[in-house]
Amino acid sequence: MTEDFRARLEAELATADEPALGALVDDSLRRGRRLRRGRRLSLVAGTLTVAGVLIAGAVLGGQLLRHRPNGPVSAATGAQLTIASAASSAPVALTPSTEPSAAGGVGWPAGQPQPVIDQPAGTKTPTTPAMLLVRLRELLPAGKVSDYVTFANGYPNIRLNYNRGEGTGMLQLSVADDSSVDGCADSGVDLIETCTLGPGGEHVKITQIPGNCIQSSMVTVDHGNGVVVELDLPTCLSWNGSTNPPARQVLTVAQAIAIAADSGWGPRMSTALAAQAKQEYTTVPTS
Amino acid sequence: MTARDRDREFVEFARAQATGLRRTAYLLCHDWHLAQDLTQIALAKMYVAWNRLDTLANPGAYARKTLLRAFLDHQRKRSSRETALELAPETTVDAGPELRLTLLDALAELPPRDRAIVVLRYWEDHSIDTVAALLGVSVSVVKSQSMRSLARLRELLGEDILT
Repeated sequence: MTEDFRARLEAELATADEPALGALVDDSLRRGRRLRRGRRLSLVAGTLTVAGVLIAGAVLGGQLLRHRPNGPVSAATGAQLTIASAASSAPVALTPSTEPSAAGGVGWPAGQPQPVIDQPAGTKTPTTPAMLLVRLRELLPAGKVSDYVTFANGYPNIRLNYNRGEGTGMLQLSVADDSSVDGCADSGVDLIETCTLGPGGEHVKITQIPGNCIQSSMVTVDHGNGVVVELDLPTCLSWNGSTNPPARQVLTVAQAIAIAADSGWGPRMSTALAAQAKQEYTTVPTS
Repeated sequence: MTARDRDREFVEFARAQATGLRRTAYLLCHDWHLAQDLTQIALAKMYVAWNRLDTLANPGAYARKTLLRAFLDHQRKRSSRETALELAPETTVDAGPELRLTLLDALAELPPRDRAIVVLRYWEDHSIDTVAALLGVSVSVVKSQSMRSLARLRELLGEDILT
């Protein structure tokens, strides 16, 4: 079986015009050196980033209930928040990345077990875009959801527009069940990755791609059980045929972390949610 | 060991692994350009971790694990990429033997993680336990997904290969 499979693939690869390796190894070495330098710098930058997230988290306070099976995330308004209003609130606890871990991915503390966000007990149904839509709507602060669409990419996902009275923005969410989030060594001029730990110690990666409004900020939370939830915070809307109209980022990073860390997400989700989704959204358009 | 020695050691390792890693990447993504990039990402991350790799029994396996993570990470992000699609003009062609689906084409039809399982099991010839460890999934998932993926490949290829 293996020999048969290998022989056939080898024959096909032989006709696949495999290009020369060229400078692959040298380029990898250069990129690795840049990553290593970037990591040293990111320890400082990460501390500042986490301080910012802590401030935002403090304002969100006790309203951000991690792993909460129901209820929306706080409707805090963007990143311009004042600390004074959060004096009595519990902050979202984030820890900056420390030493890279070869065993557990580069960017998170070594030697600590990856916490698992367990889904609530109960019967489950394979996740559909409509189920993601309903669950996301439950977790979002009050607002209007519109223009939802999904993509055929192998993972349940949903993209939607969202407006809570301050202008329309876009959100994208995907739920994968393929192992874990990679580490945070891949920062460069075109990509900035920051690894932090979520409130329960789960691995969180914040990816920023300057110049890419669709992927300007992406929050990825590793649930530690193979489930990886990515919530993107674009600064523009979908392609309208000629451009991606600029738009506001409608959630803070702290809000996105809280949503992506919700215990309800998974490749299979609550049967009750499935019934609700079926009732409310007979079809979700595919882009 | 000096930093220069470490770099030399890494370059030797990378040269020995690059072709195999890139072929595996190509089987996963069916795109030589992306395969080159994924391999570069994997090797660059290996370099960052290189000082600690002497504690690992098998740096080659770690390289594959890094490559797989880079691939799956890329697949996840693909959903959020904005692409403008042009409608292709309709054409009528006769379905001759040259249009027969290749195994590479059929592989590309599998979901990313299933594709990774098949490539690791039947191209890289890893054991079920190793595949489970590399992908961070249970042995039962590897077994069930392997069976399902092979059935899908047979269905797509319409022949009894992979028996």
